[in-house]
Amino acid sequence: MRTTRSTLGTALLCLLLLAAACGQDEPAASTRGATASSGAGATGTTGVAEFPVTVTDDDGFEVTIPEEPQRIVTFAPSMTEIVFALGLGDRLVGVSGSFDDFPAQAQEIEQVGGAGEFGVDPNLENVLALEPDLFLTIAGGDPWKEQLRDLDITVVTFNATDFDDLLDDIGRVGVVTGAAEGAEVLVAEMVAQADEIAAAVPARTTCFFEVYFAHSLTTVGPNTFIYDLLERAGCDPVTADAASDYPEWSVDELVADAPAVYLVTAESANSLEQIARRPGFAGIEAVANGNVVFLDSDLVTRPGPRVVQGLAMISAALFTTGD
Amino acid sequence: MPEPVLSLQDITCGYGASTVLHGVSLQVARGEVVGLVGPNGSGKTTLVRVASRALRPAGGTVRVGGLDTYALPAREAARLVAVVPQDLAPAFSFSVLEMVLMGRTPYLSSFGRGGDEDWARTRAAMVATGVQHLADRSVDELSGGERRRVVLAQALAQDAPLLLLDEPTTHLDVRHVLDVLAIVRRLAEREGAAVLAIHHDLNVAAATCDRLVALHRGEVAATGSPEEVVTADLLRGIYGVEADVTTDVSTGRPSVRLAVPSEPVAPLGRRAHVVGGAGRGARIIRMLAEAGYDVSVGVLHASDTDANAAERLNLLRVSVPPFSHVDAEAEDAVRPLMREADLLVVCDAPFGPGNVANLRLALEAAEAGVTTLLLEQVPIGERDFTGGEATALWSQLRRRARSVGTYEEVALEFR
Amino acid sequence: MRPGGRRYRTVIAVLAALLLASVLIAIAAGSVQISPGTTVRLVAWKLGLAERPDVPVSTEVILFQLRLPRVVLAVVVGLALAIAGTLFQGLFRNPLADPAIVGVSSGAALGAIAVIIAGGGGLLGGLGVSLAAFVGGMVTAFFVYRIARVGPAVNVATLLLAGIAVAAVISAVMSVVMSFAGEEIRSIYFWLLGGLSARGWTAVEVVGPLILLGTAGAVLLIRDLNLVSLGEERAAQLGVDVDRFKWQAVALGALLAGAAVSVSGVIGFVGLMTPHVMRLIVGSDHRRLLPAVLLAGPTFLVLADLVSRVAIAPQELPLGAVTALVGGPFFLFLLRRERRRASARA
Repeated sequence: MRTTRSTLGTALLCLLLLAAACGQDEPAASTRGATASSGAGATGTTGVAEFPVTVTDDDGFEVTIPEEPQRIVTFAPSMTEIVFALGLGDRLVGVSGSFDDFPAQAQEIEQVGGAGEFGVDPNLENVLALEPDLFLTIAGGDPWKEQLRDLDITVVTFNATDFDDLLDDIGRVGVVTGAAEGAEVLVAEMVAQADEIAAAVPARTTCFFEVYFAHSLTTVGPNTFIYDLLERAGCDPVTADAASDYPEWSVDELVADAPAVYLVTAESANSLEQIARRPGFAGIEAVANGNVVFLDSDLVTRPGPRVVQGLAMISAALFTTGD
Repeated sequence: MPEPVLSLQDITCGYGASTVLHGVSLQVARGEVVGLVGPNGSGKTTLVRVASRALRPAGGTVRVGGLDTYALPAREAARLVAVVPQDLAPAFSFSVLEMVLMGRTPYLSSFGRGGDEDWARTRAAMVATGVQHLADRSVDELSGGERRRVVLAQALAQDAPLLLLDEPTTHLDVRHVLDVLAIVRRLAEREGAAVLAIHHDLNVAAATCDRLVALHRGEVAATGSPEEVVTADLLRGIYGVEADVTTDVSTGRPSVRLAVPSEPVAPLGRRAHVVGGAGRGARIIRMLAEAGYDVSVGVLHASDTDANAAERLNLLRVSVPPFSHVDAEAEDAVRPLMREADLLVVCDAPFGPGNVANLRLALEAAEAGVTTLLLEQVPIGERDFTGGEATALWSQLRRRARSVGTYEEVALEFR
Repeated sequence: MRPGGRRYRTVIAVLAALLLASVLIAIAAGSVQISPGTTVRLVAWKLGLAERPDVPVSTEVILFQLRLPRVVLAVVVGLALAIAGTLFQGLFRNPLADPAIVGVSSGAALGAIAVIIAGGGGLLGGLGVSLAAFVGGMVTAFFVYRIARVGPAVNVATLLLAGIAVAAVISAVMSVVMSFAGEEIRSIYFWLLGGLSARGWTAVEVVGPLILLGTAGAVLLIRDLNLVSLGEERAAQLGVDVDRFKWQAVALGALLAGAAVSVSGVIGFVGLMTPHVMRLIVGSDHRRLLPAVLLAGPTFLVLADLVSRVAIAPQELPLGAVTALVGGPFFLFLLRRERRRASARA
């Protein structure tokens, strides 16, 4: 019995040690750090997309894209929309999940998300199997991003903090995908539309934006993307002095703030009656007067090309409801 | 005088705030079996725990083989002191062999499977306790007696000069009691082990130990040979019981018989006299006494069993020295007792020349009108050692007395 | 189970085979389909036994950079948790003891959370958090141990209660701390849900040696574990230094559990169930129990991780949920069978 046990034990130990040894083989050809190669990867400059390009992404990494990417994976619905808007939909090989629903073609693309403890990480095996040459995503997920970088996947993170930053990001997406010209065009369009909307704003009005209501009311603070949109659409949210990005707001305070318009996403509530029924909400002027607007959240929460539609929608809602 | 194996000097210790032992000293020499006795709460278990290195005393010294066991690492101490607990913990299913081998722990290394010496000692311990045939059996399948012997074997395997036993015979049936004690005795005699054993049963302690130490309220109340320690005074003093201490005829050791405390009886105000002998009257005497009669007994020979019974019950009795005849003095003493009795009971004792006078006197009393009962479980023919005189007297008594065949009938007479 | 008996040898052989098979299956299976044949050829190539098969580089990378380290990590973490559970069950002489019992898991989680909220999530490439978790776990275990220690003696019942109390307090502190967390909340939940994804070879290299060391230490304690099972006083009478044994058991158990939690978060059930189930099969003699646990713990976690990876691929199930869902019913089944046997015997 001793012989059997020690033999098996040795075999197992060998297996473990071997496995550990195997791990050392892969050369970590990191793309981190400045490269000497020439790059035209500056922000928003006119110019032909010459590769290789080097950009500093919003996670602070200097990333070099050696060649024009042909197999792109996006891990955010907003990125998916941007890639399609740049006309690169046929180069998209992987998306995050079922939320990548616009445009319709995006729903046909292989989904790689759902892994990790919270079910929102990319499944690294699936990503690797796709052999992408560019992985575009937004902020968050440092552990798996690091893993991807260690496996020589080119990870680029863009995180839009407000509308202007979004325009900048779109430009940079264009640079890294070799569609810089297309990006410029898109950006110009978006600027024009936004200016038009801003010009059409008759007067400033006050509003409140509900993100979510469970047992407490969650809204947006001044450093958020949505807040910026609200301001551009012509409203001054009553949450200007909020301390955090997604603060809880008490109903009593809201009654006192008395915003003119109450904006809410369709995911958070279904109907005016539902909102009015909530304890204390009947005291909110906007709710009592029926100045409640239901917004398609995709248009206002995805920092992508359709944001201007969102702007238009908010603006229209602000100035056609009630009075 | 060689140094004692176990030397406890002036031990003071307790649990928390309460002190259990107050300056107890005790020695056990090589080859000596010392019994530790005393009532519950007297500190016996505590003292043994102090000796076994389980409880550090607040005051006093503990020396085994001249060494302070508390200053030694557990491993070395275990080579000096072996404890035989009352039972094994509900352990996992180790085999008997493995269990006994555990006794060799103080000699084995972490991984040691044991050398020749270890196996030899283990086997010897198992043979000494008679469990070698159970070697491969699982411990939890054994009977109580077998388990106790395995525990003993485990302690023996330790090869320690001092052996501490905690109530080695409690919960064992008679045969196993004898086994265990014999093993311990052999160990002391042949291998010179020093043994200290807690005993609850005084008779067992007196019969098997060379010396006894009696504890009372944390102090040594008595120490010495069993004869010196086990006395009615000691029993009264530390146990608070009345007892009969006699010398066991086969062992020469003291034997304790506890008096069963009887209910105080309301006296009937009636007197009874019993003629008995050779134990035939003991029960009647007791029955009458418990019924409230003022009982007298006689004439008996001084060493007769019925005389002892009467003495224990503190009854009035008339007796003559053993093997002598009932003389005129005795007759004069007993005659009024019989005459004045409300009830006279003549038991079916054997009658010989020495005590046939009792029948004559009884006949006198019966003829004088005393209510007389004759107990006849055994026919007179078998009890007559006078060559006919007793039979003749008995027949005459029959005419004046009532014959009864059973104790129940006797009881009916006076209920 | 009879000492060295044939039945025991069979059980060990079966367990070893099961472990080997589980490891091979776990390497071969995953979210991305790789045929067993390809797996074998690639492994053979790595071992220098064959030519490199014609498969895309991505397959090779998936196998050796993603799956293999994850499976190896499952092996060592499963080993650590199972051995820690065995140590604590032996120390407390209670089959309900668990590595979390002296507060190691809670302390580790708190350590991790503290670093994450302080913004050190990226320190040492993520290892900073693991280190904080490990330190947190050890400090908590040490603290609990000190509470229960009076002079040289440790009261095991006090150790148990102190561990539970400290874990509860830490839990409360964590809730408060978490209410102040913003984006870090997701990282924090990882520590409470437990998992093995995206750890890579670094994790293995960091905790592997620690865990092997802890396991070796546990093996050295086998004899004392057996003796202590007779009761502390009896063990002392037989020559065991019981106080030294206690701190050795606590230290090793905390080391193993802390190392495991530092890379995998809190994974429940493995430490509780593995020694218990093995005890029902091979008995309580630690000379037989420990080797069985050594094989069963890794097998269990490798299989659980496999299920979590492939059940709803590309999505993953939380590993802690899988261990409970898979382990629980099996454990109950074994328990009932044992109870029935016991009452039949009585």
